[in-house]
Order: sequence, then structure tokens, then C-alpha cells
Amino acid sequence: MKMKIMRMIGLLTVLAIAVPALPQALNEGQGHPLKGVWLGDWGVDKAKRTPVTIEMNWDGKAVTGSINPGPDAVVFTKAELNPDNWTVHLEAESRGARYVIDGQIENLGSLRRTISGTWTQGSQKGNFRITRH
Amino acid sequence: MPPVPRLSDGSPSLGWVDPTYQGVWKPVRLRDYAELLLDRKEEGLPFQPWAKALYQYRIKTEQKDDPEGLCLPPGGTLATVNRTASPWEFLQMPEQKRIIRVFEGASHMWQIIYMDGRPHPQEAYDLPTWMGHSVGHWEGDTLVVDTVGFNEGHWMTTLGAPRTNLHHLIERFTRTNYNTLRYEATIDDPGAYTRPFRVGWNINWGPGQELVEVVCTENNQYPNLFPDEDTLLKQLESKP
Repeated sequence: MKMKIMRMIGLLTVLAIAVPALPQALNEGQGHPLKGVWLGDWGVDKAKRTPVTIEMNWDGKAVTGSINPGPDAVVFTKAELNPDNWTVHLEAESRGARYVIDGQIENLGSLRRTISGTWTQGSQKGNFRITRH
Repeated sequence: MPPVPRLSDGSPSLGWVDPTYQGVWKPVRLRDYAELLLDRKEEGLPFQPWAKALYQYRIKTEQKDDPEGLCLPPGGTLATVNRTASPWEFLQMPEQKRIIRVFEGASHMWQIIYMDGRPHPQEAYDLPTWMGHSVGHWEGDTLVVDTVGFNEGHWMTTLGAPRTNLHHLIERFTRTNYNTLRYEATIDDPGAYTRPFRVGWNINWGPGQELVEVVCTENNQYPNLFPDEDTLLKQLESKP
């Protein structure tokens, strides 16, 4: 029982810190259009989807980032934005699988803009859609 | 017109001392800086390609996503001259070694300028904010304000020139006479521009005026002005 209470206090503490931070992060999307955390999924068909988190940064010269940041992050080896048509090209490699992601930004001006397009991972090819959070 | 007043420490007052001549700084509305460049080297601002394309998109979509329309606080140059041309004033406190700028519009915000010689702390970069972190000093009769640590929540101009968290702003305020404040800014934002650049303009004194309470969020209709993006773009394309 005591452990449960301690866990609940811990969870509430995390939420108390994390929840107020979310609106601030969402509001800060007026710089480079790719910068930020993007959530969504990819899959070879509508039924079989895999959730993904993509984080991207901009240092003034290059876009960097990864798929599913954390210990098993798949770091991009190439990340390009074409501002002529707002298309995005991302490449990565992990555990023998090559990732090639091509998409286009929609609702560019929105802080909840999206990127959708094709997602190739090893021999599998499907589509994806991610939304900036 | 009275002479520029001076404070007890000898620095020029950027506000008023004699209540007979009270007032506030009343900027005109400037939507863009392209015509205000003091060191022109190219057509318009020295945008990076993505920044130029985003700027053009914001013009095309009539600034529908302008954060100021959502009452978010514009810092930097946009605090000095913004969409609503809201007045502001300096409150100089030499004994506290700080100067505070109070802004009537745009979220009722303020800016603290530390005059005690401190550097920008690391937290200014690690935890960027809407107004950034400002330190200042006097160069003769010119107040020089150095600001870093802006978040990416706002634009640099009302028309939509972008700003990144690499934005470094040096502003120079010189009261050339009682009714005129010369404003010059050096903008160094390697996240969005290819080189640092300088802009400048004059700001007029609004004699007899005081700042009043303005609460932007109260009955704010800006978000209701525009349809969704697809509809807006179709409407704009169908315009003759």
C-alpha cells in the first residue's frame, strides 16, 4: 500500500512538471519548420501500424535527429528539407536495416503541422504520417 | 521642447522627469525591415533559403498564424515595433542598476535590462524565453542592450520574417532630442539569416500619454478571422 502511494506521488510529480511544459513546447514552433518532436505512425497497410516518434533539430546549417529517441534511437544519416515545395527526405541505418523516408509538410503555418509520405524500412515499404507536438 | 533630462547618475533619462512633460514612446507600425536596413548588401533581408520560403508563405497566407494575433508576447525588435504599434516606456532605476521597459500591448509584458555588468547566464540559452535575457550599458548617451535566449515562439517582423533560438540582438537607444528616440539594432541570427544585419528608425514621443491596461486575450477575434489553410489558399488563389 505504501509503495502504491509512493508511486502515485511520483507519477503526480512527473505530471506536474511535464504537463505545464507541453504548451510551451507546442508554442515554440515558429523557427525552422522541421525542428521539434513529431508523433505518428507508419505501416505497410491501414491495419498494421507502428507508432513512431521523430525528433529533429536545426543548428543553422544542418537538420539532425532520430527516430524513437532514447537508447535504441535510429539516428538520421541524412536529413534534408526542400523549401521550394516543403518536401522532406530522411535516411538512417540501424541493425542492418536502411530507412528512407520521403514526405511533405502540410499545414506549414500550424504548430500542429504534419508530414506524410512514404516510409521504407529494410524490405518493407509503406506510408507514414506524423504531427508536430 | 525641453532638453533631454538627466538622472542623478548623469545618464540621460529615456522617459520623463518633470510631470509637465510626461509621455511614452509611441512607435509607428513597421511591418518589415527590408526598407530599414542600414547595411544593405542584397535585395531584402539576408534570408537562408528555408527562412525566405517561410516568410513568403506567411505573406501569402496573410499572417494568419501570427503569434501576436494569438496574444503571445513578441520580444526583441518586435517588442519595440509591432502589429498594434503599442506604446511603451523605460523605467530607469540606477540605484538598482537595472532598467525596465514596460509595454502596453502584446500581452502586457516587461523587459528587465540588467545594468550591473553581469554576463548572460547559461540558463538564458538552456531555457529560452519570449523576451530573452538582456544586459545593458551606456556608451556615451546611448543605451546599448544585448539580448539572447529567445525561444522560437514568435516572428522577427509582423510580416513574418522568422526568428530562431540563435537570435542575438544588440539594440542601441539614443534620445536625440526630447521627442525623438533613435533606434538601431544589430541582428545576428545564424539559424535563419546568412549574415548579421543592421536596421534602424526613429521613434516619436507621445506627449501627455500614459500606458493603459490592454488585455489582448480579452475577446480576441484574430483566430476567427481566417478559415482553415486549404480554404484560405483557395480563396486567395481565386482572388482576381
